Amino acid sequence: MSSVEYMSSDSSALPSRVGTGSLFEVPKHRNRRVSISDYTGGLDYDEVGGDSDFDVPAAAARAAVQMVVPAVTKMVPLDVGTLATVSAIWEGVVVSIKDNEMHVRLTDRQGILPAHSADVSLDFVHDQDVELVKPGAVFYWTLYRAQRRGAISATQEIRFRRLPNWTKAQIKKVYEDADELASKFKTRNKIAD
Amino acid sequence: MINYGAAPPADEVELIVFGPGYGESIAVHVGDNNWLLVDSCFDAAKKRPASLDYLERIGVSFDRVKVIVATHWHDDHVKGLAEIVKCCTSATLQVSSVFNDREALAFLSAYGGATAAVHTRGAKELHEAIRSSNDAAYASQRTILWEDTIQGRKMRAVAFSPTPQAVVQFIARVSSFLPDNPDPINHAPELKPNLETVVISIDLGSDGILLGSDLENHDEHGWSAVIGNEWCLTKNQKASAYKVSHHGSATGDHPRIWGDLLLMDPMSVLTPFMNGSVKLPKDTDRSRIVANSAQAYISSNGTMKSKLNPSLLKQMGQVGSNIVPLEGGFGAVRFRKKLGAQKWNVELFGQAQEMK
Repeated sequence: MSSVEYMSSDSSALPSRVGTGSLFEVPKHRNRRVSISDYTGGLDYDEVGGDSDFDVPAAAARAAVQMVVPAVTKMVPLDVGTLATVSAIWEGVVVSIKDNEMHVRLTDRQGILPAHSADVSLDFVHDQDVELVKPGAVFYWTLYRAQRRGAISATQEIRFRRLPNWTKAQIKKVYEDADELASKFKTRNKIAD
Repeated sequence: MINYGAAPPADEVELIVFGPGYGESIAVHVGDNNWLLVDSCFDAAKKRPASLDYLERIGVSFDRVKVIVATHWHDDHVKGLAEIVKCCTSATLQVSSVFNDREALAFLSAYGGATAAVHTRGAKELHEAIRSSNDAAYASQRTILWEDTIQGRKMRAVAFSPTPQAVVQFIARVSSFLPDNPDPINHAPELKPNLETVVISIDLGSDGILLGSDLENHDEHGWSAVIGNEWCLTKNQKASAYKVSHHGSATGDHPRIWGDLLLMDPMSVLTPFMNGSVKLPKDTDRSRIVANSAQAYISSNGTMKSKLNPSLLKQMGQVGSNIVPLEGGFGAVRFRKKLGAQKWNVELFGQAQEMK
């Protein structure tokens, strides 16, 4: 299976473009690697290094990932011999940026985990997304556990949502809606003596 | 489950402040079973607005709520606000007058309305609250939010802010975030400092309650403009109970609040703000507030630890730090006293604590 398509129950809220490449493509971060092997689940531990068998198969790397929010978290075949489980998909919003960190608020896309906040190093932002990092920007932080040849590994990625531009029709609706809101203000408060 | 006991009698005034760690909500009984609700947060365990849950559990009908004040639109002050508005159909929704402007309402519509591709939670909640309201009004410095004669006493709640300067500043700031083709759609950014919020002074006849909301001080705006206003200083009762502004932060304080707007040794209450590495109040804030108060209380004081699966948390820790839940450690502080009495009785619920 060289391309992956997950089904989502709420496609309107999904990233308009997740990017090309495999789910397991690891961003090239300045001397740091996001891929981690920290979970053995009682199985043999297999360290995932830079040249591990966890690397992206060429065919999968070329495939475009269209959706990354599964309706049900379950083992999904990604490649012959590889199974992946989504551990969590956080929708994040950048609240502020200070030094080399962004302060973010995280909401579980699957509606199971409570909302969290965190400080995330900008070193982990994909090079292609750096220009998108600003207060108010939306990103998806997806954490997986993958099983290949009996070894369980953990990996994760952060990708920023590329948002469409406002259309003229939307802007017109915004102002119509604003006028409707204004009509709700029926009472004029008295001014105190 | 918290047992709040019974509703206060008609001749008793009450201030109760709810806080889950990230969030704030207030209910005030002004006598004769009349209630004012200010802002909204959830009791995480109940998953509904804390003030609605409270009223229901002490046996108060929602139609006894006369006024709902949305002091400002930040996430931590509006969660569940629309539900409150939908349930309390007799109440007037008071919204900061910074939105008394077509562009400011367009800002709210753009980031919280039906056309928004990405919703900003605070904007969405306030937008829905306004849309759901039967009756809304703009609150600004010197406007009367509520007034009545209770137990033979003339009582009222007035707004000390936003000031005219803050309104102008807010409109200027939001203008730069209005949707424009071909700008990309994004979340609304937080606008700092918070000058647009509604500070409320409740005149109880003999003394008062000051609800500082999240007003900050910045140059000649915010608290400076409140304290510099003759009407705020001379035409309103000094308060014996103070909901400390902006979670006790230094930016939410002004020395003259304690001297000019409050009676000596007031009772103080505040909610914490825990959001990643940002934690309010700081130790220096606590010391300042305790030194200025007869007694000071905080709705929640626990260090919030994430209850995520340890392996997931460990994995997230490779990329991020200060990973904490937005809500947790819910608590409430309740002050009650007979109308005309001097001394407030204090009750603490959940995680609430006295600050020392």
